[in-house]
Amino acid sequence: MILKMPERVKTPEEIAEETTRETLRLLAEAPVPVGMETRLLAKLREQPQPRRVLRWPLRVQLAESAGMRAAAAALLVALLAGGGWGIAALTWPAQQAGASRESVRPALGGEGFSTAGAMRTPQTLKGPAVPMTVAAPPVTTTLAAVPEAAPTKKAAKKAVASAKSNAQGKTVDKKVDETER
Amino acid sequence: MSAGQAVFSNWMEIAEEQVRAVECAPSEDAAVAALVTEYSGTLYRVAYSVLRSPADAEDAVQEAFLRVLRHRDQLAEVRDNRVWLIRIVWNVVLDRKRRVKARPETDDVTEMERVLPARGLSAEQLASAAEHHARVLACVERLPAKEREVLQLSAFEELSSVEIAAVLGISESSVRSRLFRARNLMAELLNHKRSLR
Repeated sequence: MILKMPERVKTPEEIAEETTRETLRLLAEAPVPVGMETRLLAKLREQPQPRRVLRWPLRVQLAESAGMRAAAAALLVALLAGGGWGIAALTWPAQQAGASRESVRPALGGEGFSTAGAMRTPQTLKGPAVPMTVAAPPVTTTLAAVPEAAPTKKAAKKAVASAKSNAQGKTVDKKVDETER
Repeated sequence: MSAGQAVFSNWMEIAEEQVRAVECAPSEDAAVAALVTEYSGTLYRVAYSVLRSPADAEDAVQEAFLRVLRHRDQLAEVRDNRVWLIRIVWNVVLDRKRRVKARPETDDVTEMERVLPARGLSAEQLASAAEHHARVLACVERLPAKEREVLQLSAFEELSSVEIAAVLGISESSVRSRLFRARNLMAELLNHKRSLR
Protein backbone atom coordinates (compact mmCIF):
# COMPACT_ATOMS: atom_id res chain seq x y z
CA MET A 1 0.00 0.00 0.00
CA ILE A 2 1.42 3.33 -1.08
CA LEU A 3 0.60 6.40 0.97
CA LYS A 4 0.06 9.48 -1.12
CA MET A 5 1.42 12.74 0.25
CA PRO A 6 -1.18 15.48 0.39
CA GLU A 7 -0.54 18.16 -2.22
CA ARG A 8 0.65 21.46 -0.81
CA VAL A 9 -1.75 24.29 -1.42
CA LYS A 10 -0.15 26.93 -3.56
CA THR A 11 -0.11 30.51 -2.41
CA PRO A 12 -1.61 33.23 -4.63
CA GLU A 13 1.90 34.52 -5.27
CA GLU A 14 2.99 31.15 -6.54
CA ILE A 15 -0.08 30.79 -8.74
CA ALA A 16 0.48 34.28 -10.13
CA GLU A 17 4.10 33.51 -10.80
CA GLU A 18 3.24 30.30 -12.61
CA THR A 19 0.58 31.98 -14.70
CA THR A 20 2.85 34.87 -15.62
CA ARG A 21 5.74 32.59 -16.41
CA GLU A 22 3.54 30.41 -18.59
CA THR A 23 2.27 33.38 -20.57
CA LEU A 24 5.67 35.01 -21.01
CA ARG A 25 7.21 31.68 -21.95
CA LEU A 26 4.69 31.36 -24.76
CA LEU A 27 5.92 34.66 -26.16
CA ALA A 28 9.56 33.79 -25.58
CA GLU A 29 9.15 30.58 -27.56
CA ALA A 30 7.24 32.12 -30.42
CA PRO A 31 8.05 30.63 -33.81
CA VAL A 32 10.43 32.64 -35.93
CA PRO A 33 8.94 33.78 -39.26
CA VAL A 34 10.00 31.67 -42.20
CA GLY A 35 12.78 33.18 -44.29
CA MET A 36 13.62 35.93 -41.79
CA GLU A 37 17.30 35.07 -41.79
CA THR A 38 17.51 35.27 -45.59
CA ARG A 39 15.71 38.60 -45.61
CA LEU A 40 18.03 39.96 -42.97
CA LEU A 41 21.14 38.89 -44.84
CA ALA A 42 19.82 40.36 -48.07
CA LYS A 43 19.05 43.64 -46.32
CA LEU A 44 22.53 43.79 -44.81
CA ARG A 45 24.10 43.11 -48.19
CA GLU A 46 22.16 46.02 -49.66
CA GLN A 47 23.76 48.42 -47.26
CA PRO A 48 26.32 50.67 -48.95
CA GLN A 49 29.94 50.62 -47.94
CA PRO A 50 30.28 54.27 -46.96
CA ARG A 51 33.64 54.10 -45.26
CA ARG A 52 36.31 55.66 -47.41
CA VAL A 53 39.67 56.63 -46.10
CA LEU A 54 41.93 59.31 -47.57
CA ARG A 55 45.48 58.19 -47.99
CA TRP A 56 47.83 61.11 -47.62
CA PRO A 57 50.55 61.34 -50.23
CA LEU A 58 53.17 62.25 -47.69
CA ARG A 59 53.06 59.53 -45.17
CA VAL A 60 54.65 60.50 -41.94
CA GLN A 61 55.45 57.35 -40.11
CA LEU A 62 56.37 59.23 -37.01
CA ALA A 63 52.89 60.71 -36.74
CA GLU A 64 51.59 57.28 -35.96
CA SER A 65 53.87 56.85 -33.00
CA ALA A 66 52.68 57.50 -29.48
CA GLY A 67 55.46 60.02 -28.83
CA MET A 68 54.42 62.21 -31.74
CA ARG A 69 50.82 62.04 -30.66
CA ALA A 70 51.76 63.12 -27.16
CA ALA A 71 53.87 65.95 -28.56
CA ALA A 72 51.01 67.09 -30.78
CA ALA A 73 48.64 66.97 -27.83
CA ALA A 74 51.09 68.97 -25.71
CA LEU A 75 51.43 71.52 -28.50
CA LEU A 76 47.67 71.90 -28.70
CA VAL A 77 47.42 72.35 -24.94
CA ALA A 78 50.22 74.93 -25.01
CA LEU A 79 48.50 76.81 -27.84
CA LEU A 80 45.22 76.83 -25.99
CA ALA A 81 46.80 77.92 -22.73
CA GLY A 82 48.83 80.61 -24.51
CA GLY A 83 45.78 81.89 -26.31
CA GLY A 84 43.82 81.98 -23.09
CA TRP A 85 46.60 83.78 -21.30
CA GLY A 86 46.88 86.26 -24.16
CA ILE A 87 43.21 87.09 -24.01
CA ALA A 88 43.37 87.39 -20.23
CA ALA A 89 46.39 89.68 -20.43
CA LEU A 90 44.58 91.90 -22.89
CA THR A 91 41.34 92.15 -20.99
CA TRP A 92 42.39 92.39 -17.33
CA PRO A 93 44.48 95.61 -17.43
CA ALA A 94 41.73 97.33 -19.41
CA GLN A 95 39.26 96.40 -16.72
CA GLN A 96 41.52 97.87 -14.05
CA ALA A 97 41.95 101.12 -15.99
CA GLY A 98 38.26 101.42 -16.59
CA ALA A 99 37.41 100.96 -12.93
CA SER A 100 36.11 104.16 -11.36
CA ARG A 101 37.92 105.50 -8.35
CA GLU A 102 35.96 106.18 -5.28
CA SER A 103 35.78 109.93 -4.69
CA VAL A 104 37.38 111.09 -1.49
CA ARG A 105 34.90 112.67 0.78
CA PRO A 106 35.98 115.99 2.27
CA ALA A 107 36.78 115.75 5.88
CA LEU A 108 34.06 117.35 7.93
CA GLY A 109 34.61 118.63 11.39
CA GLY A 110 32.92 116.71 14.12
CA GLU A 111 30.67 113.73 13.85
CA GLY A 112 27.46 115.46 12.88
CA PHE A 113 25.23 114.73 9.98
CA SER A 114 27.03 113.91 6.88
CA THR A 115 26.29 115.64 3.65
CA ALA A 116 25.91 112.35 1.85
CA GLY A 117 28.97 112.88 -0.21
CA ALA A 118 28.05 116.33 -1.47
CA MET A 119 31.09 118.40 -2.34
CA ARG A 120 31.44 121.46 -0.17
CA THR A 121 32.16 124.72 -1.92
CA PRO A 122 33.82 127.41 0.23
CA GLN A 123 31.98 130.71 0.59
CA THR A 124 34.10 133.48 -0.79
CA LEU A 125 33.79 137.28 -0.46
CA LYS A 126 33.17 139.43 -3.45
CA GLY A 127 36.54 140.70 -4.41
CA PRO A 128 37.54 143.57 -6.69
CA ALA A 129 36.26 143.12 -10.18
CA VAL A 130 39.03 142.76 -12.65
CA PRO A 131 38.34 144.76 -15.78
CA MET A 132 38.09 142.63 -18.78
CA THR A 133 40.81 143.44 -21.22
CA VAL A 134 40.04 142.93 -24.82
CA ALA A 135 42.74 140.91 -26.28
CA ALA A 136 44.20 142.26 -29.47
CA PRO A 137 43.64 140.07 -32.45
CA PRO A 138 46.71 138.16 -33.27
CA VAL A 139 48.84 139.55 -36.00
CA THR A 140 48.75 137.25 -38.89
CA THR A 141 51.21 138.98 -41.04
CA THR A 142 54.13 137.02 -42.17
CA LEU A 143 57.67 137.83 -41.53
CA ALA A 144 58.37 138.22 -45.18
CA ALA A 145 55.55 140.74 -45.68
CA VAL A 146 56.50 143.02 -42.79
CA PRO A 147 60.18 143.14 -42.18
CA GLU A 148 61.17 144.05 -38.70
CA ALA A 149 62.03 147.72 -38.58
CA ALA A 150 65.41 148.37 -37.26
CA PRO A 151 65.50 150.92 -34.41
CA THR A 152 66.73 154.22 -35.78
CA LYS A 153 68.48 157.01 -33.85
CA LYS A 154 65.54 159.39 -34.40
CA ALA A 155 63.08 157.03 -32.88
CA ALA A 156 65.31 156.52 -29.88
CA LYS A 157 65.56 160.25 -29.26
CA LYS A 158 61.76 160.61 -29.52
CA ALA A 159 61.23 157.96 -26.94
CA VAL A 160 63.62 159.57 -24.47
CA ALA A 161 61.96 162.98 -24.93
CA SER A 162 58.46 161.68 -24.35
CA ALA A 163 59.60 159.90 -21.22
CA LYS A 164 61.07 163.05 -19.80
CA SER A 165 57.96 165.11 -20.54
CA ASN A 166 55.80 162.52 -18.85
CA ALA A 167 57.96 162.64 -15.75
CA GLN A 168 57.78 166.37 -15.61
CA GLY A 169 53.99 166.37 -16.04
CA LYS A 170 53.60 164.00 -13.15
CA THR A 171 55.65 166.13 -10.79
CA VAL A 172 53.64 169.21 -11.79
CA ASP A 173 50.43 167.39 -11.08
CA LYS A 174 51.71 166.33 -7.67
CA LYS A 175 52.57 169.91 -6.76
CA VAL A 176 49.10 171.14 -7.82
CA ASP A 177 47.49 168.51 -5.62
CA GLU A 178 49.51 169.54 -2.60
CA THR A 179 48.60 173.16 -3.03
CA GLU A 180 44.93 172.33 -3.36
CA ARG A 181 45.03 170.44 -0.09
CA MET B 1 59.39 70.80 -60.99
CA SER B 2 61.58 69.87 -58.09
CA ALA B 3 60.84 66.95 -55.82
CA GLY B 4 59.86 69.25 -52.97
CA GLN B 5 57.38 71.14 -55.13
CA ALA B 6 55.89 67.91 -56.31
CA VAL B 7 55.38 66.74 -52.75
CA PHE B 8 53.70 69.97 -51.69
CA SER B 9 51.49 70.14 -54.76
CA ASN B 10 50.37 66.59 -54.04
CA TRP B 11 49.86 67.49 -50.41
CA MET B 12 47.32 70.15 -51.29
CA GLU B 13 45.30 68.18 -53.79
CA ILE B 14 43.94 64.71 -53.31
CA ALA B 15 44.29 62.71 -56.44
CA GLU B 16 41.65 60.26 -57.46
CA GLU B 17 43.82 57.25 -56.97
CA GLN B 18 44.72 58.42 -53.49
CA VAL B 19 41.10 58.20 -52.40
CA ARG B 20 40.59 54.53 -52.03
CA ALA B 21 37.71 52.73 -50.60
CA VAL B 22 38.79 50.64 -47.73
CA GLU B 23 37.82 47.23 -48.72
CA CYS B 24 35.51 46.09 -46.05
CA ALA B 25 37.31 43.24 -44.46
CA PRO B 26 35.57 40.13 -45.67
CA SER B 27 36.15 38.57 -42.31
CA GLU B 28 34.02 41.26 -40.64
CA ASP B 29 31.16 40.78 -43.07
CA ALA B 30 31.37 37.06 -42.59
CA ALA B 31 31.30 37.60 -38.83
CA VAL B 32 28.12 39.68 -39.09
CA ALA B 33 26.53 37.07 -41.34
CA ALA B 34 27.45 34.40 -38.81
CA LEU B 35 25.84 36.46 -36.05
CA VAL B 36 22.65 36.74 -38.08
CA THR B 37 22.58 33.00 -38.61
CA GLU B 38 23.26 32.19 -35.00
CA TYR B 39 21.29 34.79 -33.08
CA SER B 40 18.54 36.17 -35.29
CA GLY B 41 16.03 33.71 -33.80
CA THR B 42 16.86 34.66 -30.20
CA LEU B 43 16.75 38.36 -31.03
CA TYR B 44 13.42 37.95 -32.77
CA ARG B 45 11.92 36.27 -29.74
CA VAL B 46 13.24 38.96 -27.40
CA ALA B 47 11.76 41.63 -29.64
CA TYR B 48 8.50 39.74 -30.04
CA SER B 49 8.04 39.28 -26.29
CA VAL B 50 7.86 43.06 -25.92
CA LEU B 51 6.34 44.25 -29.19
CA ARG B 52 4.01 41.23 -29.71
CA SER B 53 3.85 41.80 -33.44
CA PRO B 54 5.83 39.62 -35.86
CA ALA B 55 6.41 42.41 -38.37
CA ASP B 56 7.53 44.90 -35.72
CA ALA B 57 9.80 42.31 -34.12
CA GLU B 58 11.45 41.50 -37.44
CA ASP B 59 11.97 45.19 -38.14
CA ALA B 60 13.56 45.60 -34.72
CA VAL B 61 15.94 42.70 -35.36
CA GLN B 62 16.87 44.18 -38.72
CA GLU B 63 17.56 47.56 -37.14
CA ALA B 64 19.70 45.89 -34.50
CA PHE B 65 21.80 44.13 -37.13
CA LEU B 66 22.17 47.36 -39.07
CA ARG B 67 23.59 48.92 -35.92
CA VAL B 68 25.94 45.97 -35.62
CA LEU B 69 27.01 46.50 -39.22
CA ARG B 70 27.79 50.14 -38.48
CA HIS B 71 29.99 49.12 -35.55
CA ARG B 72 31.44 45.96 -37.02
CA ASP B 73 34.97 47.17 -36.36
CA GLN B 74 34.22 46.75 -32.65
CA LEU B 75 33.18 43.14 -33.01
CA ALA B 76 36.59 41.89 -31.96
CA GLU B 77 36.28 43.72 -28.62
CA VAL B 78 32.93 42.16 -27.71
CA ARG B 79 33.23 39.49 -25.08
CA ASP B 80 29.79 37.89 -25.23
CA ASN B 81 28.15 38.35 -28.61
CA ARG B 82 24.80 37.03 -27.45
CA VAL B 83 24.40 39.41 -24.53
CA TRP B 84 25.74 42.30 -26.63
CA LEU B 85 23.22 41.61 -29.40
CA ILE B 86 20.33 41.16 -26.97
CA ARG B 87 21.25 44.47 -25.38
CA ILE B 88 21.20 46.18 -28.77
CA VAL B 89 17.87 44.70 -29.77
CA TRP B 90 16.47 45.45 -26.32
CA ASN B 91 17.29 49.14 -26.73
CA VAL B 92 15.79 49.16 -30.21
CA VAL B 93 12.63 47.52 -28.92
CA LEU B 94 12.26 49.95 -26.03
CA ASP B 95 12.70 52.88 -28.41
CA ARG B 96 10.01 51.52 -30.67
CA LYS B 97 7.66 50.77 -27.81
CA ARG B 98 7.97 54.30 -26.49
CA ARG B 99 6.88 55.64 -29.86
CA VAL B 100 3.95 53.26 -30.26
CA LYS B 101 0.79 53.86 -28.26
CA ALA B 102 -0.60 51.23 -25.92
CA ARG B 103 -1.75 48.11 -27.68
CA PRO B 104 -5.40 47.15 -27.36
CA GLU B 105 -6.00 43.88 -25.50
CA THR B 106 -7.85 42.42 -28.49
CA ASP B 107 -4.62 42.48 -30.48
CA ASP B 108 -2.99 40.42 -27.77
CA VAL B 109 -5.82 37.88 -27.85
CA THR B 110 -5.35 37.41 -31.59
CA GLU B 111 -1.62 37.15 -31.19
CA MET B 112 -1.87 34.63 -28.35
CA GLU B 113 -4.22 32.48 -30.42
CA ARG B 114 -1.54 32.38 -33.08
CA VAL B 115 1.22 31.55 -30.61
CA LEU B 116 -0.62 28.97 -28.49
CA PRO B 117 0.05 25.35 -29.37
CA ALA B 118 -3.20 24.17 -30.89
CA ARG B 119 -2.76 20.48 -30.28
CA GLY B 120 -5.48 18.83 -28.18
CA LEU B 121 -7.47 22.05 -27.78
CA SER B 122 -10.84 22.83 -29.20
CA ALA B 123 -11.50 26.20 -30.77
CA GLU B 124 -13.35 27.34 -27.65
CA GLN B 125 -10.60 26.23 -25.33
CA LEU B 126 -8.08 27.95 -27.52
CA ALA B 127 -10.06 31.19 -27.46
CA SER B 128 -10.50 31.13 -23.68
CA ALA B 129 -6.81 30.32 -23.16
CA ALA B 130 -5.86 33.18 -25.45
CA GLU B 131 -8.11 35.54 -23.49
CA HIS B 132 -6.58 34.39 -20.23
CA HIS B 133 -3.03 35.01 -21.49
CA ALA B 134 -4.05 38.39 -22.89
CA ARG B 135 -5.36 39.35 -19.46
CA VAL B 136 -2.09 38.30 -17.87
CA LEU B 137 -0.21 40.36 -20.43
CA ALA B 138 -2.41 43.33 -19.61
CA CYS B 139 -1.36 42.95 -15.96
CA VAL B 140 2.29 42.72 -17.01
CA GLU B 141 1.87 45.95 -18.89
CA ARG B 142 0.63 47.63 -15.72
CA LEU B 143 3.83 46.84 -13.85
CA PRO B 144 6.44 49.56 -13.40
CA ALA B 145 8.91 49.57 -16.28
CA LYS B 146 11.89 48.35 -14.25
CA GLU B 147 10.06 45.34 -12.84
CA ARG B 148 8.35 44.56 -16.14
CA GLU B 149 11.63 44.50 -18.06
CA VAL B 150 13.24 42.07 -15.63
CA LEU B 151 10.17 39.85 -15.66
CA GLN B 152 10.05 39.74 -19.45
CA LEU B 153 13.73 38.88 -19.77
CA SER B 154 13.51 36.25 -17.04
CA ALA B 155 11.08 34.30 -19.22
CA PHE B 156 13.98 33.45 -21.51
CA GLU B 157 15.45 30.27 -20.11
CA GLU B 158 18.72 30.81 -21.89
CA LEU B 159 19.33 34.06 -20.01
CA SER B 160 20.82 33.82 -16.53
CA SER B 161 20.36 36.55 -13.94
CA VAL B 162 23.94 37.69 -14.62
CA GLU B 163 23.14 38.05 -18.31
CA ILE B 164 19.89 39.86 -17.59
CA ALA B 165 21.89 42.24 -15.42
CA ALA B 166 24.36 42.78 -18.26
CA VAL B 167 21.55 43.45 -20.75
CA LEU B 168 19.86 45.97 -18.48
CA GLY B 169 23.08 47.46 -17.19
CA ILE B 170 22.29 46.82 -13.52
CA SER B 171 23.67 44.59 -10.80
CA GLU B 172 22.63 41.01 -10.31
CA SER B 173 21.16 41.79 -6.88
CA SER B 174 19.01 44.47 -8.47
CA VAL B 175 17.72 41.90 -10.93
CA ARG B 176 16.75 39.58 -8.09
CA SER B 177 15.04 42.28 -6.03
CA ARG B 178 13.15 43.60 -9.04
CA LEU B 179 12.04 40.12 -9.94
CA PHE B 180 10.78 39.59 -6.39
CA ARG B 181 8.82 42.85 -6.47
CA ALA B 182 7.45 42.04 -9.93
CA ARG B 183 6.11 38.67 -8.75
CA ASN B 184 4.42 40.20 -5.73
CA LEU B 185 2.87 42.94 -7.82
CA MET B 186 1.68 40.42 -10.39
CA ALA B 187 0.03 38.39 -7.64
CA GLU B 188 -1.77 41.49 -6.40
CA LEU B 189 -2.89 42.48 -9.88
CA LEU B 190 -4.09 39.01 -10.84
CA ASN B 191 -5.95 38.49 -7.54
CA HIS B 192 -7.56 41.89 -7.90
CA LYS B 193 -8.70 40.98 -11.39
CA ARG B 194 -10.09 37.66 -10.20
CA SER B 195 -12.00 39.34 -7.36
CA LEU B 196 -13.54 41.80 -9.84
CA ARG B 197 -14.86 38.98 -12.04
